[in-house]
Amino acid sequence: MTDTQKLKTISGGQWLISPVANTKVFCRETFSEDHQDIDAMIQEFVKDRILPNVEAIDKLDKDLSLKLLRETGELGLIGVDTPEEYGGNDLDKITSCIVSEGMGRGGSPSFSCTFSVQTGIGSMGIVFFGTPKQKEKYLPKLMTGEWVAAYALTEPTAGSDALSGKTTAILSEDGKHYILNGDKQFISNGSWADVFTVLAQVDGDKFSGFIVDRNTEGFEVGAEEKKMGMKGSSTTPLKFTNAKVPVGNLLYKVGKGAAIAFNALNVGRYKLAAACIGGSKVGLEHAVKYALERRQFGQPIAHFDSIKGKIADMAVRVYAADSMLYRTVGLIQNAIDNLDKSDPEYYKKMAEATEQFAIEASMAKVFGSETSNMVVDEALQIHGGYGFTEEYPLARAYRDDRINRIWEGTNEINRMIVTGYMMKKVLMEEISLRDYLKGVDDFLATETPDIEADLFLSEKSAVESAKRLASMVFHEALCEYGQDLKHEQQLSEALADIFTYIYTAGSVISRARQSQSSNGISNMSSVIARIFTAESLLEVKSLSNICLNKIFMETIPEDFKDKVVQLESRMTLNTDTISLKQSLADFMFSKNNYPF
Amino acid sequence: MKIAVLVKQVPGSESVLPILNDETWVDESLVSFIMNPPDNFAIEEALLIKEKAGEGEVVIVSMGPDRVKKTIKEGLAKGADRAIHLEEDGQIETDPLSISKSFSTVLKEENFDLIFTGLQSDDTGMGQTGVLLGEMLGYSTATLAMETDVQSDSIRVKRELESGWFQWVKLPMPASISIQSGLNTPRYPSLKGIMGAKRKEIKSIPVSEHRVGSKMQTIEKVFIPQTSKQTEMIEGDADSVATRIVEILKTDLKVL
Ligand SMILES: Cc1cc2nc3c(=O)[nH]c(=O)nc-3n(C[C@H](O)[C@H](O)[C@H](O)COP(=O)(O)OP(=O)(O)OC[C@H]3O[C@@H](n4cnc5c(N)ncnc54)[C@H](O)[C@@H]3O)c2cc1C
Repeated sequence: MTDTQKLKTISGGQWLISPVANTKVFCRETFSEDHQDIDAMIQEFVKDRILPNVEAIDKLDKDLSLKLLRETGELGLIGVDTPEEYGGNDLDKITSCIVSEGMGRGGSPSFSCTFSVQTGIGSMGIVFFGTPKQKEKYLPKLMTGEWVAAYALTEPTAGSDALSGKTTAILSEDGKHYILNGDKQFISNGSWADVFTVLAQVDGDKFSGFIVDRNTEGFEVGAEEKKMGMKGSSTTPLKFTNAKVPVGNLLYKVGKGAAIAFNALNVGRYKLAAACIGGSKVGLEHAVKYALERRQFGQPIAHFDSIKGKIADMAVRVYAADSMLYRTVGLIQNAIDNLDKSDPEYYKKMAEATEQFAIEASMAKVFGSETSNMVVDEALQIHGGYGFTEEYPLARAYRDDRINRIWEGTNEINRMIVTGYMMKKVLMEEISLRDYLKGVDDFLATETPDIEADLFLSEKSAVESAKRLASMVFHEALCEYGQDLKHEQQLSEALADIFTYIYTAGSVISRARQSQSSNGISNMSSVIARIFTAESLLEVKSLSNICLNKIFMETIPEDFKDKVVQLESRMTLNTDTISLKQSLADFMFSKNNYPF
Repeated sequence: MKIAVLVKQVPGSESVLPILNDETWVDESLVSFIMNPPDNFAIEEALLIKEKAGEGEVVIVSMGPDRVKKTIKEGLAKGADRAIHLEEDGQIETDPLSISKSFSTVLKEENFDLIFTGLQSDDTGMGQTGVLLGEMLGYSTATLAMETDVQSDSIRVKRELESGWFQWVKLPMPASISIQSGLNTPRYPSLKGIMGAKRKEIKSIPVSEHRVGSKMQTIEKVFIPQTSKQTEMIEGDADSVATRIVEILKTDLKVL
């Protein structure tokens, strides 16, 4: 394999122009025995230790949260993917997602936040970019939870525009310190942290990272925010007034702050998706149980078709989010496995390998957070008026979940990233869109395109057509707007959604295909794959129309339109989604949990 | 200090329990299995004793088909040093005497100082294996230990008696002791433990090498208890009604 070929197979975005579901993808069903054992352990841990403490944590009980944090440290969960020499366990990214998902199942997103800042953004800068001395000093204590970590990027005037921070760092005259001045905003673990990774501009314009100890002279932690949810997580501003940070605490190099910030985000995004999926599974289980218990009109509300539809919609959505997340993490892990561990630049290369899948990580973040958003909303709806009270867990879950569409890059920003990176890959010819489009006429000329016949033949054929339609739309958008596509944000967002539906449909079909055996679970996986494909291709169709009407200013050329119509008709599945949802919901009720 | 912990894999309390057509056992292919919860406390007690002594060995001993390896691994992941697996194929043995004979055949060579069991297994709930095994090996035995205190060549245990009474007994070692649930807080396996478990030894003993003699006890029928509502109208004068009520409270409900 040549180097360029290799790059193509390991880099993100290729699924757009590769045959759907003809290779294996990583998914829950391909977890190793270790993955399963760790999954079981963490689920047991959160059930015993987090779940009973949810309300107490929500009162912002520092001692309790930090005690639980140390317990996770003892189990090795904080250092799940940190090198062993610094007190970690050096396990793969799949395990780190299993841990995040498990925490998401604990019923306390607040604690999940405290934990994930500690294991993720709060310590990752040091893991990836720290000097051996910095690693030795900080990591062992962070991995046990003895020291608490925080990560400070956001400022009052620099939120989404994260690199525009105004906090400055100036080397002192004696060259011993950087003098930091400025404000940070919304810093998780702020009140509790001992160690802060802080981003600041050296000499006004060189964005750089620093490790700041809590007791640093001139550094102050502000008052707790009064938040809508996540009440058990500390969120504060920080203030630097001529704060003296030793030069030895510069992280990586001057001017390399963006690498630190973006690497933390790329990793944070897929882990956030994992936490959202964990939370969604719990929300869905609450809904299933409640629907079976609550009686109206002389029967459990689970018997009503409308409720069945909701349960099935949630199950499909959660299964889909789960499938595309673990496929993504599998791709990332695969790229990491190809690296040489003895390379002194190993961690920096790992950051680059992760960035190769920035598109998929952002899609996972958007799809995951919008899944949990949909689940808390529908699960609350199934609880009726009781869902609106604090007697049941959905009210808190609803508030807590809202932040997920805002942090780790708002979903607006993440959609821009998806389309932006796809655009970059096409312009750099990493994705050969033009070659792919050359084949569209041939594709349309054959009655039955060459697709491996299996249970999902119709679904796969339909997705093949959808990929061609999406590519045509994307290509036209690039021809019309070029680099300026990024300023056409509504169009970019629609494209990001089209890409996400296609990637996710492929992930769901692959997973369902791989988990075929004779049991009920696998039958239901096929049902889910059929529902999800049918519904998401309808979305792709309508989004494509919206895009084309914009690109061609309401007059789509006839020959182009002709192809669109042909592709659209091939994308239209005659799946009876309503009946499938009835049987899926009945299955969910018979299991009384989330069984996938 | 060499401690064996007998650990059983049993159907989880949340598992479905479909009964086989011949009504002799449940359909194991549909059951989800877990470590017998009381055994978890026995493992923890053994690990605590070893950690306090600063030396020694904790060995997980389990009998059952291949599936029990998962439970064995859980014990190893929590910190046990090695394991012995008494293999079974086909239907599992449920007669405590036969089970104890198997264990004694295998364990007599090992010369354990202590053998711990959970107070009972959550499937058949016999609670006899530890005592029977102790007798067969000539070990001193005690049941329902709520606290342990290891001394040089003996162990003191606090036993739970009836009606809130306790008893401290001192047993010369070697001893076989069943551990009361709740006396400690069992640990979770750490990530290191889980990853390290696969490098630990699991010695497998084929069924032909441990099953001896014929069984004394077989299960005749497994069934879900029938719930039935029976209403008895007590009629007559006040005295005879009162007498009947007292009789019911004494003999049927056994609350007097
Ligand atoms: C509870 C909580 C905890 C947090 N924890 C941390 C932490 O530990 N560390 C840290 O550094 N930060 C943290 N944050 C900050 C968080 O990451 C930011 O809130 C987030 O990045 C959004 O920034 P903003 O709030 O300034 O919103 P803005 O950037 O002002 O956005 C407002 C709206 O405008 C949209 N928008 C902005 N720019 C564009 C654009 N170019 N195109 C289209 N739309 C745009 C946004 O999508 C959003 O809808 C936390 C925030 C909260 C609420």
